[in-house]
Amino acid sequence: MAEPGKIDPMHQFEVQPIFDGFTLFGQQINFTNSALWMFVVLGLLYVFMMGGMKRELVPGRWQIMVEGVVGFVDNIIATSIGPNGKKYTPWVFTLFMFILFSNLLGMMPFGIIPGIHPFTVTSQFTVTGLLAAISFSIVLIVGFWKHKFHFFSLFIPHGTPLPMIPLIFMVELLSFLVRPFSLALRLFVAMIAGHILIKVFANFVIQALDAGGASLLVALLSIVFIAFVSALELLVCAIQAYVFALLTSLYINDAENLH
Amino acid sequence: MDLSSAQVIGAGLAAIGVGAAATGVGNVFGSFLEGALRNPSAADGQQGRLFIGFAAAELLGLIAFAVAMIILYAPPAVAEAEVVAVEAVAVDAPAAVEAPAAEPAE
Repeated sequence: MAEPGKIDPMHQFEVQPIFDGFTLFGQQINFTNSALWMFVVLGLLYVFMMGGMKRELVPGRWQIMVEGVVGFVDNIIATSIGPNGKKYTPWVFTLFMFILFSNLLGMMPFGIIPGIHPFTVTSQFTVTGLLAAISFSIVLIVGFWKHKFHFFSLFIPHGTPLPMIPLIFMVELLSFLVRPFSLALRLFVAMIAGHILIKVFANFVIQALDAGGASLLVALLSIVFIAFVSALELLVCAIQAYVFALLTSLYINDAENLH
Repeated sequence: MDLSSAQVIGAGLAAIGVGAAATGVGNVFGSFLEGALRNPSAADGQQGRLFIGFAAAELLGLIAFAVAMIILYAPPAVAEAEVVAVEAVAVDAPAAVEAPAAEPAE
């Protein structure tokens, strides 16, 4: 274990192996805390959905919650893609629920239990990058499968004058290619920034308590600030999940309906 | 100016970009609220676009934050600075060895 008492805001994002695994192509594949928390998210999602799949005619509270979330995601897809977007509902729903539960689990106060800390699965760029890569692959595959080379008309808005077409095509193409990167980066940095802010103020609390005297006021103010920032972070968790799902549906709409 | 001081100054300058993005985000929500108070019944239909605008404005602020983090923890110039420092030490060491060797010879 590292020496106790070291103040390190980035320690919460460290991926540590729990069980040693096997070697594949020269890389060590372990069971890490990141994988463990992904299983926790999976378990919670399963419990949540199974609890609501009762199909009672007059729904109980849990079923109302699950139906509310499903209706919410259905609404996103209906307003973004339209009636031929129903086949994308499983992917967008999975995306939304996984990101929402991962973000929220990272904010839970598991630090009360000595020795463990909550780990945000989506605070790893590999995880968010993979989710964005799958969304973008769906966009590319659907676009080229459905429209073949007419897909490139997406980059030339209707009615552009002929001399400007090459320039506009380049700019629109660049903006299109940045999309998966921006999706991944937005979620990743939003999670990292909020958690680092909370940890930095936690450091102030510890250092102020060590100093004693008038610094206790600083400690008190820092604790109040941590409470407010945590409330804001809960809101940001939900908003970032919603924005990821909404933008994915919008990009799929671009591929499916070609503006 | 040594590298770590320059890093800290660079990160502080990049944080100004985050403040500029905060202005943009406030602009998005402010415009939405202004329009919503004039026409409350049409406000709920535009909520999706509100969050898309917020996400786009916040992304640029987060990119500025990412630049600050890259400068602080993984600056690309670190490898070059180490190479230059190693070469300078290697050039100085033989010269330093030759000078004391020349003096007792005289």
